[in-house]
Amino acid sequence: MQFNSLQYFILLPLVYLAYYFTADSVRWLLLLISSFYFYYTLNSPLLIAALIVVILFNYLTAIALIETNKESIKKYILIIGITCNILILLFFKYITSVSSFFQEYFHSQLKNEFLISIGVSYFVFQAVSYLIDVYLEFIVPERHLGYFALYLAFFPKLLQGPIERSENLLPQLKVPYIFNYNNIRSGMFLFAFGLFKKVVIADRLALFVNPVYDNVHAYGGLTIVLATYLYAFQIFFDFSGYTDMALGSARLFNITLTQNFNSPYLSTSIAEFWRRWHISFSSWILNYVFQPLQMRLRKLGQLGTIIALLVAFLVSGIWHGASWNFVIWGLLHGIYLASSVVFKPIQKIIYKFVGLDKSIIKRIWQTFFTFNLVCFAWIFFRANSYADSIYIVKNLFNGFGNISAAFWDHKGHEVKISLFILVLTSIICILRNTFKIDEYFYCWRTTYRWLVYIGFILFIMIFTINSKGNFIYYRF
Amino acid sequence: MIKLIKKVVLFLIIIFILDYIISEFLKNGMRKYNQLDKKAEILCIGHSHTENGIDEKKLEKVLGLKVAKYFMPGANNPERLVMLQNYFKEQAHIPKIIIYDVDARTFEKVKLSDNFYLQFYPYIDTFQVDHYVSENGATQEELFIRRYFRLLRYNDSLLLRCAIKGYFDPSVSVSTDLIDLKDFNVKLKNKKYSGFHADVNSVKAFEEILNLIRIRGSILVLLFIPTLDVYNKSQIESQIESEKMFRMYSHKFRNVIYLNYNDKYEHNHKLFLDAAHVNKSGQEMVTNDLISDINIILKY
Repeated sequence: MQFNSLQYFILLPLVYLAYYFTADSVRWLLLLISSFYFYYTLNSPLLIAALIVVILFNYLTAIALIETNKESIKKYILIIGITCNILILLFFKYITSVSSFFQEYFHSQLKNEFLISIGVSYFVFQAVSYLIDVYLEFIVPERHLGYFALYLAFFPKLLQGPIERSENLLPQLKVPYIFNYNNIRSGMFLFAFGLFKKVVIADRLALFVNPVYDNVHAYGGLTIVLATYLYAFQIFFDFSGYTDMALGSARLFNITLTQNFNSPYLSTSIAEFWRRWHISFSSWILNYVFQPLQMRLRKLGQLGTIIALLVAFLVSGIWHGASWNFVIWGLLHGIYLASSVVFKPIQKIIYKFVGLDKSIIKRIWQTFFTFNLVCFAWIFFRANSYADSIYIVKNLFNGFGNISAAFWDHKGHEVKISLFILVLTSIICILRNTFKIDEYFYCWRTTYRWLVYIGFILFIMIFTINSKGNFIYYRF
Repeated sequence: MIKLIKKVVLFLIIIFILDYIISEFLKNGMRKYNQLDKKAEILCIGHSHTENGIDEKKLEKVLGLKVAKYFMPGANNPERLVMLQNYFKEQAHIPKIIIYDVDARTFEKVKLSDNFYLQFYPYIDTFQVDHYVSENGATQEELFIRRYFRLLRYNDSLLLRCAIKGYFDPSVSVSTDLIDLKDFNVKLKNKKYSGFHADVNSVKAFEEILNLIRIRGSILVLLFIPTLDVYNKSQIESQIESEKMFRMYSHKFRNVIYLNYNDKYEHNHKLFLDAAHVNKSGQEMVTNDLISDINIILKY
């Protein structure tokens, strides 16, 4: 089930009520059962099996790591543990290719329930980070199977993250629950705001982006540029909307999940972008791929850093999917970062020379330039095929490209509504992240706050887009 | 915790009440836009051909009778059956004359967009509309939510706009543009015509419409609003076969009259916005002829 479904709107309060009335000692069990039920609603027995296998395997591997005294054996256990996790991940990533193989050679297709891999990327990465942290003795392995299972399977973050570190989530699962009205209130509001981002903004932007990207050869030039910019906002609001709903859901249980976004399009560099976009994933790549590699290649100096960056982002691209487009997307970001390693000192000299060193113009220029670099990479992320992405790149500056058919004919009013909502929400998001206006809002009188809550819910009901579309990051 | 539950319950009650009030406001706007609130003596029902082809205000002014125009772009016989059933549920007054636009594709299966059924959401309180929506694209969950959360019925921005427009001026302004014949001929070359295939469901729906109108004692006017001659020629078999059917129904049923304005105007390219729709000038021609014909019908 998805967060923006009637089933979830019923499930969440029921689980919370049951949680409230359950004894502390078995609350983990209630959440675990709810999490498995949540995963079960995807109608894929293979996914449930994968989750159980990953839980049991990593639980036992972590204990084996700590029970072993010999460093060499520990290392082998870790390598085997990571390899098995990655193999599970690769199996699910490439399962559609396996299906084609079955179809071709055995004349029978795998059933649909075998073809989906929702959530696997996230809990496998979580499991890998857990094993490494145990090996490096940053944490002690969790001896209670139930808590460990819940750490991997906790339903608010099961399908699309955040990718939680054990030192953040595991202790929270064990804290006795004390009713916290502020958490309930802010959790529900955060959930509603995430829902708004997804069903009002992201799905609305998809109305403009999808017709262009699903039929690129009918368009060109400015149309594709605008569709790409809109996609940048679509994917942001889609994914950050999901994250808000996940964080809001978890907050009801007094659990704080990792913030995944922090106004990423205000970044002044690609490095900063990756500190603000999909934070849990980028920090995972940083800690478990880039830094170890960089350490290994430190003798190569700057070249070693560049190689580490390229490999890290290649992994990032492959994690997103088994397609050349994702590989190119990842590599592009790797190239951006690698270039900045080389050119940053030169940039500093140039800015100082022209007197823009500490000026606002420099910041605006950097933000604009970074945004456009990110959008260029999004072309490969969104395009339906490698051929489409090449067509788009070749035709980016090719006139207006049927712009009125894409954005105006029969859609003129929708454009105005969409732009208004997009601008307003972007301002609110920036204010929330930069000035923490939530705390100020909760100081308002109850009547005014209720007027905002009611108006907000009614606004969502009227302006939600009747879309059957999944969350974008569902498929990774 | 008790305090929280009370607050949540109170909040939901307020939402439900406001949801009902605002949705009734919007539904009333939709009724005005679709002219279902009029005790019309003449009802024009159809799709975009009716939207463009008939000036109901002029009909009202000249004939001195109330005229309602209820159209839904893309609606063919099965959809119009639902529209008519909805009309009779919303409006107790029975029109004397019902004008039903027809064309070469009236009895064929027309592929509608996947979300066509959204246009019916404001009226799902009518059983037949609810049934149509559930059979034609809506998931059970989607329909269930919209039965109880009425504002969700107006998610489509076009519906919302129509609902608000209903309170101001619900009339549709038709373009004065002319068809680009050269462009159309190029597009026509790429289109493949597969012959006339009467769809069983479409014919069945049409006959149910005939029955529905006949038992209410209204006169049904099958009006062929002109379409472009080049376009008609490209689907000549459909043209001929559907005309045969229109004539057959008008001979079979005393209350059915077939008016063909197509033959008279199809060659006058200045009257067309595109191959299937008349422009402002075309609307004027059609409406003037319709006024004359209705006067004759009313006389006899």
